Amino acid sequence: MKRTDRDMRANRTTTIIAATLLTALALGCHDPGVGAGKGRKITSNVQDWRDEVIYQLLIDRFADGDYSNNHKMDRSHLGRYQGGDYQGVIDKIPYLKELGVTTLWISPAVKNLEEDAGFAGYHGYWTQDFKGVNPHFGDLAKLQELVDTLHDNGFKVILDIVTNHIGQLFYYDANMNGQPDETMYGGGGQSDGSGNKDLPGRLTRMSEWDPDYDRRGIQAFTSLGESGLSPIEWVYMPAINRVPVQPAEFQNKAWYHRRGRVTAWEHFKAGTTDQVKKFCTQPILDNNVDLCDYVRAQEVLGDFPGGLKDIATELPPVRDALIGVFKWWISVGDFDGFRIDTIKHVDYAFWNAFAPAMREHAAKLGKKKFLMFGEAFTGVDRLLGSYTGKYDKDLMGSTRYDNQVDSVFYFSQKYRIDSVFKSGAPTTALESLHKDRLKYYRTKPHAGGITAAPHEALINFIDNHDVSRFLYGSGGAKGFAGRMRALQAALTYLFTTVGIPNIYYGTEQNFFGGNDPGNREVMWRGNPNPWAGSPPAFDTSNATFRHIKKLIELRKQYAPLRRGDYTIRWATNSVGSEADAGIFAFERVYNKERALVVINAKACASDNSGKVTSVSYSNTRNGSSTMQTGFANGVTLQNVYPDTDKGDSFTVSGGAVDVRVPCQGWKILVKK
Amino acid sequence: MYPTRIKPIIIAGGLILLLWPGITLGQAPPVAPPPEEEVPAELSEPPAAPEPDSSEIPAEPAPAPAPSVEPADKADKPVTPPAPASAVKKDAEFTDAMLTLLRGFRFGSYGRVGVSGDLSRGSKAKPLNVVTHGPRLEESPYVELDLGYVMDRGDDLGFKVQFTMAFSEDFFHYNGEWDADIAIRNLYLEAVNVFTPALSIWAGSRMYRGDDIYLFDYWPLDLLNTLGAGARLRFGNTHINLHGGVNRLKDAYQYQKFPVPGAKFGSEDVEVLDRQRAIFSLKATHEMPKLTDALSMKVALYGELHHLPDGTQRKDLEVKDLPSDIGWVAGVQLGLWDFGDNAHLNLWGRVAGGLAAYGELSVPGAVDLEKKAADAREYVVALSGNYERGIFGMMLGAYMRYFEDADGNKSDYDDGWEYVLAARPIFFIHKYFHQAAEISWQGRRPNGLNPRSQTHLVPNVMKFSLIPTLSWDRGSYSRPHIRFIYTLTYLDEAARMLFPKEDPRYGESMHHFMGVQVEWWFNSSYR
Repeated sequence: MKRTDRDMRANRTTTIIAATLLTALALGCHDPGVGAGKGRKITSNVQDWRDEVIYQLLIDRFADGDYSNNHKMDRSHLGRYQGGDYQGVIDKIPYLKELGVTTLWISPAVKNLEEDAGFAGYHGYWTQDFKGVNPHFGDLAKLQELVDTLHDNGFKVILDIVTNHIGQLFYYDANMNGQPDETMYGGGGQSDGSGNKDLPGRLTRMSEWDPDYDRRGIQAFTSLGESGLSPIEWVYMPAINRVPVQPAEFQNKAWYHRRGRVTAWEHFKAGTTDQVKKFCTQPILDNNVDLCDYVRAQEVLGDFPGGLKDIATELPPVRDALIGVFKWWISVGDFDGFRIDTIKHVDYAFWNAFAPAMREHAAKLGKKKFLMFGEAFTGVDRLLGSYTGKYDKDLMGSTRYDNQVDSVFYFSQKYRIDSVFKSGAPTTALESLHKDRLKYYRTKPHAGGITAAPHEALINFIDNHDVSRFLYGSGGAKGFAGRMRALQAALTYLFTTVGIPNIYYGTEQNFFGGNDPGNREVMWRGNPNPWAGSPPAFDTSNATFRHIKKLIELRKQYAPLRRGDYTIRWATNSVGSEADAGIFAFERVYNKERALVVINAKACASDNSGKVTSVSYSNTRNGSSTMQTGFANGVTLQNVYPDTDKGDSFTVSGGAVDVRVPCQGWKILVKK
Repeated sequence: MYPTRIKPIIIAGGLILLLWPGITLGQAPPVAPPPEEEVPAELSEPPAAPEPDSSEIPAEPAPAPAPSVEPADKADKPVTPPAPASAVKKDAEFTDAMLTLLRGFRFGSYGRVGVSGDLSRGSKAKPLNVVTHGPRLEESPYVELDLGYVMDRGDDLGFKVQFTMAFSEDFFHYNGEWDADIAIRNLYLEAVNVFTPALSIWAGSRMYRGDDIYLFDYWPLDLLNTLGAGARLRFGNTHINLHGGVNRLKDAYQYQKFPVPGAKFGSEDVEVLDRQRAIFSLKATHEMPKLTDALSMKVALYGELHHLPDGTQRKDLEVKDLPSDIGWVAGVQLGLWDFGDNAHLNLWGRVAGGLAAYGELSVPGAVDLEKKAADAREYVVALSGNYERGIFGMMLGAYMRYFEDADGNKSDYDDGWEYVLAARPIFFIHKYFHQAAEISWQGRRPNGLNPRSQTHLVPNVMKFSLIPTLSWDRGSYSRPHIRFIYTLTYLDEAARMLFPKEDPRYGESMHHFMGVQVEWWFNSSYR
């Protein structure tokens, strides 16, 4: 059949139209990967979590890479949004690579209540929408881009999550007037006979936003007396996103404990607080800490301070809903782990369901070794360890809730580090810590979890967003220079001891902020401290940055520093002029490879500014006793750090080795 | 000209489109409500009634308001008959006259401006009425500016654009504030000779109304203000006026913007309630000119239908469903004229139910348990007339009105009777100087107790006015006027008790009004 020009034109036209339609169709169907499992390849990125170095950052404080999401900022006040975002982190990946950290722990991504009592939800812990993305940081696509870019650059990503509470999105309408009263006054029937045994005496005033704990549930009352369980009312203030929680199923008022704010905490000792003395009379734990069911009940059932309303996680539908939410986050975010906020404020049964569900879901998506570590703000190892799955009948009751999270934020160690390296406590404090670690933390990996057992994968930290920075306050150390030396020694311990080191952003820049929000400095402003030499932002030349970088390099170079078994070789009660004063030494062995770390925690003599006046030395011996070692006799140990001591070498003799270390110094020794 | 055979088809199609119930014209901003009725709230409303929450259906009714807008129909006598009866009579002629005599741009106006004092406290004299539509001499300033353009091709299709802008008090020279209350009343296009001289159609924003009681500034039968369209058909001496329009008051009853969380930050307003009231009216008028040598007559039947769709109202997290609602009006008018110079007499009867009982620019002041206004009723009988003979003229106005709101309580203060009677004798002492007087009596009989006094009050007010007037010409409706006014008002005890005790008027039974006013109308838009 002869094809005419007209036919050909028609065919060309048809082709063009078809191509146009296909293009349009393709564009219309373009899936940027937003959404559960769509177009995103989810893989395991971790070999062994003990190899990782975590870098914790608050998105709002790290880097501002997108001015378009700078909404309602107040850069004069740390309690408000500062402008950091996901793009900023992407922009600073070279800096992070330079430092050498391998995993980023990013602050919560969920959409938050914008502000409360003059503070902003920049930190991310005031959930309003469990599946929404905080627009101050970017949208879901940008978050995915951040994760993908980090993965492409060899980083892993941990998302901070909260299951314990939501933001202050409802109030207790105790006087039933339909408005949240900042202050309402009792008296009258609220005398001793009020029934609130948690507040013996007269209840004279309360805030309907954040009333104190009442085990019966917050009671409605007027001046004439009580009137039963107080109603709760969701608030609708869309301008600040104080609107009912999403997804809508979480708006079920029965999903909250409604008992008011926690007023008694687990670490109160019986007899030291009247409140606890009266109701917590049964010490059930050792370690010189008195816990009792009542106090624990407050922690688990009470609202978190600030009016953060406590979710009834023990209810099966609530538990299932939360599990569904965070499965979704794994699916859409390709995260490698969760840091879980306020874990000790949630019942064990919940974690026993939540943790395996997350592992199973991640594995189903192709991501194995999904890390979960919890934050229990306590120095009590027994309590901390219980959340790693170490069964504790006194805490858990008869049910064996041993399928918990993989690790916890190692608060007890943080306090010991402060006391030893900053305040001059004996290094035996670190030794006892090690014993408690073996005793109170789970020593077997969880099925389907990370390959390391919890007791060897604890998250080691010095600074975080909830405590004053190490460099804040003297704590016994003289001057900023003295604290700087203590920090260096403490960091050496942190990066070489067993566990997963975690650096809070700014530690490498010698940030020195006090309590929240002072410790949430703006990274891109640099360190304003004149003692630190006012280095530029993201400075890579200061001593602490270089120190951390070096320690990370050593970890990469020497596997025992990451994965090795841990044996304490020397700890001492000596803190004075004794030969071994301040010495703490331990060996780590992995695949027959061995490293010996010797740290002298003793502060150098200095003037009030912290300037060293004389350098003292301590040895791994005391009297006739010399430190034993696992290295064979005749082996020469070579110091690999600090570089200035590289010429140092020590020979093992009689199964022992005497290592000399300057004050607030260290040596990392390997076989020559 | 159009081919004759397609005319009926086009006409029929056009009418169907115009009258199809689903068609509502315009998504324009809500029609600005007319100026507030100038009856003092203290006298006409239950003072103790709680202020309804603006975001909810008012729980308590407004005090039996009838629809009321400022007058705008006062046309210059030679062009537009001042009295409604005359207007009806000449209405068809008006269209023709408009097309043949007033081609191109035209300007018209109605206005009244005045200044007054109470002769005691130095205050501006205030209207003292206990009925919804009392005597108008004490009305405050109001001006309409009419701009029009006529495009005429003789007996072929012609168009008229009408734009009426209205201003109400106060003026800059009085309060020193550089602003004004402005409303666009008319903004429509009317087509005449639409395929046939018998048909005219219009669309746009329009005051749509019939005859009034001049003395009270009150349209007792038909007064509608909508965005819509209408048609007028004439069959001999019979006129059919059809109209369909909508309004959407800026009131939480019909319209609500509600803040919701923004897509990223802050909040954004969403129209969660936007329900237009659809209003349809039909008026059939049959004229019988020169029934006798000294009498012409007309009879008009009138009806309205109102429909409000259902909607949803929000208050914080509360969602309130508002049901759909309806209203209706049925009325009749008898008009007589030609029995004297400028003589006319109009009689009206009107019954309104549901939404329509409150008027099209008001929301129900009370609803039933189903949140509907179905049980509201308004009954009106009214009279208006004028008679002139030699140097004497007499204007009359009167009405009685019974109102029940939609709540289940038929013995509350918002339900009841009101009545008013006024006569204005005029002596045309000179062609340009007239001496008029006005005497009136008005009263109100609520079904319930006065919420302030907790007694059953039947307030009465009597007024007597003297009105020397400089006029353009002889005749009650001759304008412009410059007139001086003195009014003595008597309030009985029940009327005085309507005021709060703190109000100076509470203790005074005799009140004075002294003032000077001007009033004009020329080429003013009419219907």
